[in-house]
Amino acid sequence: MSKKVLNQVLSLLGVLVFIPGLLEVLFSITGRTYQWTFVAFNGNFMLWRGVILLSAGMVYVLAITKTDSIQKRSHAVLASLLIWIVAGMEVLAMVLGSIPGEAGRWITTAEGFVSSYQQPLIPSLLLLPLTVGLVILISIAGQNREEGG
Amino acid sequence: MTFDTDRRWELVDRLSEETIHYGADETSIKSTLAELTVKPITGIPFAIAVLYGFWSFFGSFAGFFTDGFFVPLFDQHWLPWLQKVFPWEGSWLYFLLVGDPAAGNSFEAFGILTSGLFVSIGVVLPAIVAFYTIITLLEDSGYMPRLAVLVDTLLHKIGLHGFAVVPMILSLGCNVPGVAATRTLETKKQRFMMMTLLSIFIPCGAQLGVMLSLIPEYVGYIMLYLLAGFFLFGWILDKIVPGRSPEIMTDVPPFRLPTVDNVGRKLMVKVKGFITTAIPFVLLGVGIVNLLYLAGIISWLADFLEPVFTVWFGIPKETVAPLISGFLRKDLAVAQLSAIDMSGFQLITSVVIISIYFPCIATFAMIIKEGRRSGGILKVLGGSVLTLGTVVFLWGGLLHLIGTLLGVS
Repeated sequence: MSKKVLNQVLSLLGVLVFIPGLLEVLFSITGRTYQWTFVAFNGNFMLWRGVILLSAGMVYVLAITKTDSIQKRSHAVLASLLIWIVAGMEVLAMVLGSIPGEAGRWITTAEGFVSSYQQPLIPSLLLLPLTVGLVILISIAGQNREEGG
Repeated sequence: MTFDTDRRWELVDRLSEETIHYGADETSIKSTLAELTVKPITGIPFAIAVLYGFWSFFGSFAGFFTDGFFVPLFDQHWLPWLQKVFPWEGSWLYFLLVGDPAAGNSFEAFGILTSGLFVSIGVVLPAIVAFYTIITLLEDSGYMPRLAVLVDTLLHKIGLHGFAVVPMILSLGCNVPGVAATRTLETKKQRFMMMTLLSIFIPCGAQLGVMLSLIPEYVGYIMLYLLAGFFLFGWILDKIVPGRSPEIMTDVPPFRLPTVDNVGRKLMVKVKGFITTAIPFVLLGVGIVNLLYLAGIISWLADFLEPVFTVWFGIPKETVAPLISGFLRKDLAVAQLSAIDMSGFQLITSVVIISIYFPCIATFAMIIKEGRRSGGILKVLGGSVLTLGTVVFLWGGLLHLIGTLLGVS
């Protein structure tokens, strides 16, 4: 992957991460929540999730300014790690929240289990595939570079 | 078998040949990532994300066991069964072991076999397992020294250095190992300051677990107020306590992937320690408070201290009972608050006062033990007690004042 293409990908991701981060911060400061088909701005620690997304967006942009290839890629991986922590914790909360049952049942029903996953997701979860894709691309580019000497 | 000097050097050479590899140091993404986590511009967002992960895991894991399984087990099965089959309702033994016969949940029953077991096993144990899992992962991954480097500048403002973050984080699990870890600090001044600040301002994991279960919406405010106190009183102590606060040099190890074996083993040791020491203390705490209730001592103390509680701190006089059990277990004391009728702000103030008013008995014993090597028991204990007395009145009173000015007290 050329430096130019990587910069374009990082700019796009930077904006895609920064905007929902800003929205999460603004919603939590104003005490509002928002839900639209598959995306939700609500839940516990929304302010912190927003701050982390904002920071990740800034680190992607910071990566663009780096001329050294390793520095550029490391910044991109770090920004992705920030999103993975938030998304990973959300996945864990969803999985653990989907198991216990209600109204006298120890374990939830199959319908209850499935329905707990059929709800709008927080922005970090929606961004997860994109950031995983970026890190895979960076890793492949790094391997190609090593093989090419 | 003994070796002469030449033979020893020969062995050293052979060992070093097998273990040390020479070559040009190649910068990799892994090593650059390790550097980025100690640079403020990238390290602070990463630290915030780690902290977020920490709290989120804590809430999800402890919530899964406590709300998902232990609350139904204790409230729907254990408590009603015990209330039904335990004989001598109305007797002192019933009050001691089962508690309030009309209680609808295990938090409010306050008997040794109801609240005592529920708090220690149903609430605190999952919280402790979650906390120590994260702490062990942070230790084994090599992130702790990076956090120490990152907060070094901040902690220097109160006469400490970055490694003081280790006792701070350990104290978030339990104040006892936190106080023990202060022996890694360089001077008597630093050790005294850290012991005092930890025992006053850092709530333990058990207490945090109960707080997150009972009053999740207020935990953030409470932690913020306690941290503000930690730094303000740390700065004051730095100015008035004589002694040195030297710089340190530290080695930052590379990031490593924690192994399941190591994490599991450490976790087992820590959890076993909790089960054998903390659970008996919780049961004992409930028993002692119930005996004091039966003897009328709690009511007498509540009446005696009413002016201080209601006028100065703005909290109900009934808070005296949780304060007494707080000397045995802070988690138990916070759990007890749920049974007292008070406003949200009064609840915040009560939890803050329970946190800062006196260390639990185990921490108190550890301060006495560590005080010997940090300037003498009397000096350290006297200084700590004087500081916490001042802090309770000033910091607790200030919170009441803030509430009054905001019109929420």
